[in-house]
Amino acid sequence: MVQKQRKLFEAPLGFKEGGFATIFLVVLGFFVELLSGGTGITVPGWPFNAVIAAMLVLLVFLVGVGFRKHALVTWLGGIPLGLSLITALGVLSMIGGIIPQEPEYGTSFVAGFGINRVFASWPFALVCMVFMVNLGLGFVQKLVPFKTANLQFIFFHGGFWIALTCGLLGSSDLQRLAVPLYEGRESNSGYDRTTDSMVELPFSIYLHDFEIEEYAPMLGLYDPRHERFVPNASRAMLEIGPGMRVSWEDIEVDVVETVPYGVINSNATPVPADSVSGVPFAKVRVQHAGSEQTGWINPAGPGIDSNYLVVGQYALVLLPGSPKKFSSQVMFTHNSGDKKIALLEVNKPFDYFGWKIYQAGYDEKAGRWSTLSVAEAVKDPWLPAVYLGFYLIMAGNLLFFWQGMKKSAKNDMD
Amino acid sequence: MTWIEFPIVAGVAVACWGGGSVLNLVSSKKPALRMPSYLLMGLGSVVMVVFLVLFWQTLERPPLRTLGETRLWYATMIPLVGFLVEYRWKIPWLKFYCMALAAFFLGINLAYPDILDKTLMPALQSVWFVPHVIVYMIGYVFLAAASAAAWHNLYLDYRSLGNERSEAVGHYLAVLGFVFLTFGLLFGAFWAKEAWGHYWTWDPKETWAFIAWLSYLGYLHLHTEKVRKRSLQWYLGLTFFVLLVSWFGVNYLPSAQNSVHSYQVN
Repeated sequence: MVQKQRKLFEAPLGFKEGGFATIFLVVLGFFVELLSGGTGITVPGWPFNAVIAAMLVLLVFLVGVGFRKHALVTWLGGIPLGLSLITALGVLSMIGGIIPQEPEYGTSFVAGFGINRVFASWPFALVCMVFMVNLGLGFVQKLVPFKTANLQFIFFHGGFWIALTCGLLGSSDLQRLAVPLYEGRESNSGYDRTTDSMVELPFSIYLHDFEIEEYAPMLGLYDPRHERFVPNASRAMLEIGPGMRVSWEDIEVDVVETVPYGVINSNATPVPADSVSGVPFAKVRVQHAGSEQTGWINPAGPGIDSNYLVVGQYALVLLPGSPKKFSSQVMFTHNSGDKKIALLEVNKPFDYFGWKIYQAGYDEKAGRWSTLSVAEAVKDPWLPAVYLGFYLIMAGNLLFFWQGMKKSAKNDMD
Repeated sequence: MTWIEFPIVAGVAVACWGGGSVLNLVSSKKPALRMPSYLLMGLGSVVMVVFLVLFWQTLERPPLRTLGETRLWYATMIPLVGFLVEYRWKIPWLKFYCMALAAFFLGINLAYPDILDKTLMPALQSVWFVPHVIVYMIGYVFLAAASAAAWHNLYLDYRSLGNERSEAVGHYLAVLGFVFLTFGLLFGAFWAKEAWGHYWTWDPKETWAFIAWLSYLGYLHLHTEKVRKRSLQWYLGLTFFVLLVSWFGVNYLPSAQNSVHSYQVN
């Protein structure tokens, strides 16, 4: 706690000094940001980032162990400074969490201070740098000399330190390339958004087939005057099926027949077709205001117009089902001659020569008929180090849970 | 079970909690009512659990996608934390706050009815879906209870009745909540790596989850640093609002338009 008679920056240093130092860092950061024209900070790439990381670790260990009793070192690795930095991180993150983080967003004022790219801005970077020192010193001072009782602290703080340092310094080595793949064609380069350039990959990807599986199509009663769908009493999305009956106040709809995929023949009735050429059809009987009408409705597809029924002031439409699964059958050919066949699917990336290849997207306008599949090739050499940090945090977390439960199980509160 | 039956189910659950609470309060004078009061309050939670199970079956996917669905879990679990605290730490008042919060969240669902939607977009079809969201829900529940405890402690302090025992319960709940929040954040990072290619992209939801996590990290360090007790209770009571922003407030922020975390039906 801060003593009353003590002047600012007189030992022991505490919260006030922590607050001042942090405010100084943030103000300095915004000043540098403004001077540099709001371009933000670029983390140096390999091997310079590794050298910086090694120097940080070395320095923190030397200072943390060698000068552990020094008032300045105690303060640098202590909670008062840590809390000030946590507050600054929180406030800067709040700016980033409220204002859209896009280069094209905002006035020149916003852009000049780097507010539309806070997480790459100088104030954020400076606070993070000092936070890494603070966290590292705190960690080292509990690590040496080692005590089992400090294990939870060591795991949690050490893990956070490793994850934060490697995550931030390693961010410059992260490569994320969008690779457009066309059916029946091979591609060996990807677009890098951060540098706005095409980058050649050490392998090529050949797209055999791109497939989309959809949920069942849905009925909808569209109100063109208010440009919205009329909610139905079932409070559910209306996936169609034969024998289905739905009502909207005075409108009764029966689904008489469905065709999962069909095309219109010369008699204007749908005939079953394969999923590539067809669209879903539903034959519906509608009763409204004493009259009855029956007809086929369907969403549009290539060469097929959509059909709907006019019911009073509304339109009864059939909406295509939302995508359930999309996947690409691909073949990789590495420069070394290695070949691999793989299925790329959302949430199931494929590992290939240190790269992870993801099913990222497709031509959403073409939907089911898209012949374009967008893959993403990601290389993050620092990932194992970051994950090591995460695992340590989880180990510390488990101990924290266990300690808390153990502590609270005793009647130590009485 | 669908959203059509939900108003009845919510009504029954709230009636059980409300009736049970009244009996529980009266039981200090009439001990014979003690057991029935717990049975009635427990029944309210049983009703919610049964609804959740049947709703899951109808939905054919985990009911964890929309905010309305997550509120169901929250309302189901938070009274259980209240009961747990009474059972374990012999603190009877927290359960009333917990049941009131549960009723409040069921009320939000009644005011903003959801639409039953069985679809689950490909990004959500992952083994991480259930653990990530449930761990977060448990964390939110503990931290809401911690916040309720903090408000009650401030009230006790105001009446000069503050005591270490009830402050300790608030702290334990905050610790438990923080543990789950940390797991939730890390599970989210692991999942994001598998689904979107990177474990951290400063998506608005991630950013706010990080801010909420930092807030509670701040609380733990303030506690270690032994700041004034009243300030600490204020902090614990208020910081829950940051968590609410990360849970659903973020959807109303200008930054949310580009969030990949938007699974709400319009």
